[in-house]
Amino acid sequence: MPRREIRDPVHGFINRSEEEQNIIDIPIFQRLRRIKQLAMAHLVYPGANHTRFEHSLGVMHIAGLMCDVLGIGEEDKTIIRFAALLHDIGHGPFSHVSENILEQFVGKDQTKNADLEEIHELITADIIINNRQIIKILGESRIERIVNILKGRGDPLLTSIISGPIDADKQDYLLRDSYFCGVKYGIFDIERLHNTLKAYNDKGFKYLSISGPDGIHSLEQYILAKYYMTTQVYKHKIRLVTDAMIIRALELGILEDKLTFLADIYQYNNSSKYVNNYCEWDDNRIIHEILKHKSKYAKEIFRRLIDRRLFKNIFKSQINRLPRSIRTTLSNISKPGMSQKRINFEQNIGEAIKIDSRYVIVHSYTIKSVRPKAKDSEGSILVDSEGQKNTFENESTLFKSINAAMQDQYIEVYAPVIYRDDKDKKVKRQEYQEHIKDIIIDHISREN
Amino acid sequence: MNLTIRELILIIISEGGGTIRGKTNIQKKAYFIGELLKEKLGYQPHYYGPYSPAVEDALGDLRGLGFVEERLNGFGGMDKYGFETKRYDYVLTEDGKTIAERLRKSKNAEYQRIKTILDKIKNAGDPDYFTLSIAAKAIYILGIKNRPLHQSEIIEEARSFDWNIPEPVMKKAVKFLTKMDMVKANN
Repeated sequence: MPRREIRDPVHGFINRSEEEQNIIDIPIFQRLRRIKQLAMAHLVYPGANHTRFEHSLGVMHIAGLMCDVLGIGEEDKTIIRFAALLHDIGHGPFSHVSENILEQFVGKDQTKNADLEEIHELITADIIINNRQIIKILGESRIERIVNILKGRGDPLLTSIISGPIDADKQDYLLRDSYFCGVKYGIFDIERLHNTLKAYNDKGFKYLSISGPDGIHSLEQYILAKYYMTTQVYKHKIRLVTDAMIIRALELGILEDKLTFLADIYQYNNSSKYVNNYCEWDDNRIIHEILKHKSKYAKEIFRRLIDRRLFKNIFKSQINRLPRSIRTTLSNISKPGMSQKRINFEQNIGEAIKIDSRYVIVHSYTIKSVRPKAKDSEGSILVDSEGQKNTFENESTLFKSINAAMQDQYIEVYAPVIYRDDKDKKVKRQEYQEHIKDIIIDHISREN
Repeated sequence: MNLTIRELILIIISEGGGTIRGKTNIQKKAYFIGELLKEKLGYQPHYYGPYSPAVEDALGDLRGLGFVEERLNGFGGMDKYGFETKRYDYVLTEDGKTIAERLRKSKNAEYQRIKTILDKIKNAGDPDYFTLSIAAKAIYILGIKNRPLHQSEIIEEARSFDWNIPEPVMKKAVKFLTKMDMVKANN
């Protein structure tokens, strides 16, 4: 089939087949142009306006390159490229930020059979299986293969191209996010990395491996890129605040402002009515509807976001420096099942600092790659050094230190405080830090 | 199983006397626990036997929380069986011991369920990490074939793994699986 080219600032030319172009042209794929890759990171990095659309094209491109170096046949390569192209089609407005809300409001019975999947991944599968235009272009047997690969089922080599420690998704977003944020942290030698990739065949399973020692150095460079992008961009202190504000705005919009259109988006079920409605929404439409409605809390927070009047970080601590009896609770405090504990805690803080507790956000996180699910460790990748096999973890001393640093857990508190000047800021931050620490220890200890 | 993966790992290390040698050991013990309790712990095929990123992640969380320490235990290349010699011990910190004890009291029924399986593993020969790897991999691969498992087939599969594994070690893996009631004797 003839291939056409698209210009891409990260990869140069991206080829696509006629069938791939047919998928790109359908409205549900075009929707990805209206979902920003990094939510409101443009408030920190003004250039970060890139979207899931071009990211999806980039992932398809890289997946194709990986298939070529790994010697994967044309039929499998076609499936992998479609899986890569469609892997984010189920993303909600504000990308990964939406996932938090979806998890909060989903009924337990809706995800009980899911294999540790995120809800947007379930929605992706729902869309691919049921969308008439996709069915018409791909056919049901190819769709079944694509969905299985996206769910991580089947040949480990093929699935690892789409979802694994060095999958095409990560490779693209590191380079793309780096480019559009205007930083160099995420740049790694992708050609060199691909040159060192090998398929290792073992009892009918094929595993992704790298040739040592060049592969070890390439992978180390990639891991450094991931680490610095995580610490400097994905977990940038202001970005954490903007993400937390979006989440809080959507929560309050559903729970306090009773905005039914928000509830309809975020109470996942796998009905076609739900999926069709979900696919009508993107970043701008949600903001527009919230601002237009007579909502109070959601509107206040989104107005602040648009005007860049952001909440301030008034408390930060490494969790393992706090008493052991409260560490587990704190590390889980941002998870959906902990809402009431978190709310109680925020009420205590709100009373103490005299701010409406609805606008006090307690947030815990780990320094890990932006993808919250645990498919990120490169430690298990096989290294083939002249016939000797070992895991990357045992071959790379650099990996150990980076991996250790990527497991630090933190708790922070954000609130709409106002500082008169730098001196006032310094004094108040010190007070907040001490006061909130006491509240944390006292409150959580009592609750435990 | 009314336990998080973090809690499962705490119990595994606690019942190991507070120390487990090698991450592979934790991975494989968690694998057998998951198999016997029919719990999904996110295991995927790997050259060294079934591997769960979620278990890896939970172990990292416990380290980040200061409940588990990682201590280097020798380093070097490959041993004669083709397994890594650089290994890390995973040790409960004092805080970790306190949390594990609290877990034993607060979720005693679940704790005892896991302990029972760990005792079974111990009584089945408490294999070292590479025998456990062979056994876990054999179960994983043959389980995918979805038919009854016989000792001779396990030995055959272990032999064809392209590892230089001596016969006594292979038989140890088979014996372990037999005692765990996970394979049947030959007819």
